[in-house]
Amino acid sequence: MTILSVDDSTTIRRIVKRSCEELGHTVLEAADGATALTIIGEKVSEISLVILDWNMPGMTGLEVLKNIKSNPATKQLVVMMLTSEADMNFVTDALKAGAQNYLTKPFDQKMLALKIQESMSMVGA
Amino acid sequence: MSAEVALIGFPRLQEQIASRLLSEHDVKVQRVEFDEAAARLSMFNLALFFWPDGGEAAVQRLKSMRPSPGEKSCPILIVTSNTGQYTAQKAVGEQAEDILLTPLQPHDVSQKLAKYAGISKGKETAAVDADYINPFVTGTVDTLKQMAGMTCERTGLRLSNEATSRGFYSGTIGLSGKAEGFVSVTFSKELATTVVCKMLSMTPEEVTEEDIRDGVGELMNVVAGAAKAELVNTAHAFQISIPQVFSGGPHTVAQPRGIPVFIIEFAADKQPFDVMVCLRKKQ
Repeated sequence: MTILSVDDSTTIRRIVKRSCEELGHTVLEAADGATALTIIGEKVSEISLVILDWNMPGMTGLEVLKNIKSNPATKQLVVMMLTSEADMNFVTDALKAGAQNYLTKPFDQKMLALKIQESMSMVGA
Repeated sequence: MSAEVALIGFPRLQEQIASRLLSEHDVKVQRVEFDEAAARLSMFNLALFFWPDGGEAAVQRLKSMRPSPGEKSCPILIVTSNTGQYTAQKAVGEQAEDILLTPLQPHDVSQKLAKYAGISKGKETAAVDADYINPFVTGTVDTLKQMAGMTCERTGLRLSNEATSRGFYSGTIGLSGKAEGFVSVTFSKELATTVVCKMLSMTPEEVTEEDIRDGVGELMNVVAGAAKAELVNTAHAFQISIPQVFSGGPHTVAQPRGIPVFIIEFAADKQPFDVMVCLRKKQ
């Protein structure tokens, strides 16, 4: 299955990519919200999961999430927020906006892999 | 008349922090070296004894300070770190009255001054408030452990009026909200490379300059986010901005604008690095 990783940090995108590939998934990458929405618009039928950073220049992760969930063509996508915003208010906002899962930074590889698997189990649910 | 407090064996910057906290009370503070402490102790109402690691030398120095029978006694508080407190605890009751942990917290200092020397707070000031430091310490330790699999420990704390980095790479994030300022992590070239290689599971030959810069920035982002979550319901709550990374020889990471900068010193893989925290409650 294909996962879209959205993060302005190449470090985080690489860490996510490695974990996803180890789990047998294909990864697309976007460094900002606008690029992510373009990729989603073009490849929505291929993408199963979006792993979305919160704190990005330009559109925030929450804005991207709201955009995905308000569009009938994309609202079925499973979204996992991956964020350094460990504040529970942010987590609540993300879940209210339609995110199915979240993981707060810092995280280790095992936790990331677990959360990816957990999120993938929600695809098509 | 003001009570007199001796600071025994304090390094200069620890002395600066202690003096600023003590200045909120009606006390006169004097620096005293180890070798003159025994002779002068009876002149003071209270002594703070700096105990960085709790080695045998510290125990002997403390023993040598106790007065002969019949001489006036001065209460001694041991100032030590989380690591040193376990050995320091053995001296409590015999050579010293109690322990104060670094980073010194204003309420701990006030409480123990009142308890052991009857010294009360003379005036309310907004001098040094170090309550917000610990979330940055735990945030740094957790982030390096989880993201890079590295163990690090805090080795010291300094106060400065400048935010000049001694390292090669600095990741800096602006903080705004109820409190404002910045936080910055600064690494040597070698340690930054090691950390980023471990985060990415790559070798030093594989990582580029851009990889290191991005990794340092992201590390700062995660540390700031972790500290932010801890401070969310306090007077020091803040929002974080996008990290910026500076590199090159000694460089200024931000302008403190009159706010003191706490420089938290760490070591990871036996290599030092600093986290600078400059945060002030908005007036």
